[in-house]
Amino acid sequence: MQGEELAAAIEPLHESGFGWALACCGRDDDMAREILQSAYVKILEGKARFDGRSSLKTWLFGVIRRTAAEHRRRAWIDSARRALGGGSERVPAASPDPEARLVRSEKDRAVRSALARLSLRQREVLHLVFYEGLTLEESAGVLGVSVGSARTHYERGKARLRRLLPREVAS
Amino acid sequence: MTDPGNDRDLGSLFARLREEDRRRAPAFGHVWSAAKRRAAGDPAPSLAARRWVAAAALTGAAVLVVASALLLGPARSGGSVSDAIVLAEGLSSWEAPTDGLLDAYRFEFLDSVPTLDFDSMDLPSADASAEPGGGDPTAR
Repeated sequence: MQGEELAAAIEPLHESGFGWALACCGRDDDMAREILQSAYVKILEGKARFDGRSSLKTWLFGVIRRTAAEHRRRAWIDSARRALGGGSERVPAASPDPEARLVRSEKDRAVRSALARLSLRQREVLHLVFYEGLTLEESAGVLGVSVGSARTHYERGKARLRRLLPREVAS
Repeated sequence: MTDPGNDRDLGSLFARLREEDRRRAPAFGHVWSAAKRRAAGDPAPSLAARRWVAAAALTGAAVLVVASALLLGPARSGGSVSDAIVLAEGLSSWEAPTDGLLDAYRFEFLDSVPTLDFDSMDLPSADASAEPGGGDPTAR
């Protein structure tokens, strides 16, 4: 797939991809946009190729996840440089709708806060199962782990999320 | 396998989250075209990339200078003794085009102390009373 064909195949997955990018970067809007764009760049440059061994969605989510990991590493290096007095070179992109953050409900904030306290793996697998409706097998494929490992993260993540959520939110 | 029946509470929380995220999602066309521009190398390089390019250019220039010095240096100093003598003679006999300006024949008077012949001079009288206003300032 190339060019317009590639764009047509990916467009229906775009919103899910954005949600997944949010889950991979601690729900930072600007970072998620940057990750999604970088993932598309990889696809356009042919650095990430769909070989048909999985569904297009699983493959795209895998590309986004790897891109997010690269961004985390870069952010870590930048923060280390800042700590050493080197200064920051990354300028975060301006959010097109900064006011949107202010209108989130208390309930959503509680959910986000609880999710942020889960481990990355737990957050990822819960997102894939509950948010995207993937099976544990498909989620394991996206995460590149065994189904057993995905199940462990899933069960522990659910239990921890329920403990972290306020009673009125969980009910 | 997952059992959505037992986790309906979590399912509804994530569903609400998904709806909100999708409202905030950037338009596909915007992100895709920006990615296409980046893939084509269209955008200006980042500050870090520009610094790397500048550092590489400076390093390249320094390497070029050092390499030139190493390559040309031995050639200049590797000539025979007679060549060096000819070069030295040339340098010692060389005259600058402006050397003529340094000739001080016009300024020979600076080499002698001038003398004044008071006898031949027509000087005014030294008589104080001849001066207007008198010669004794205390006499006023």
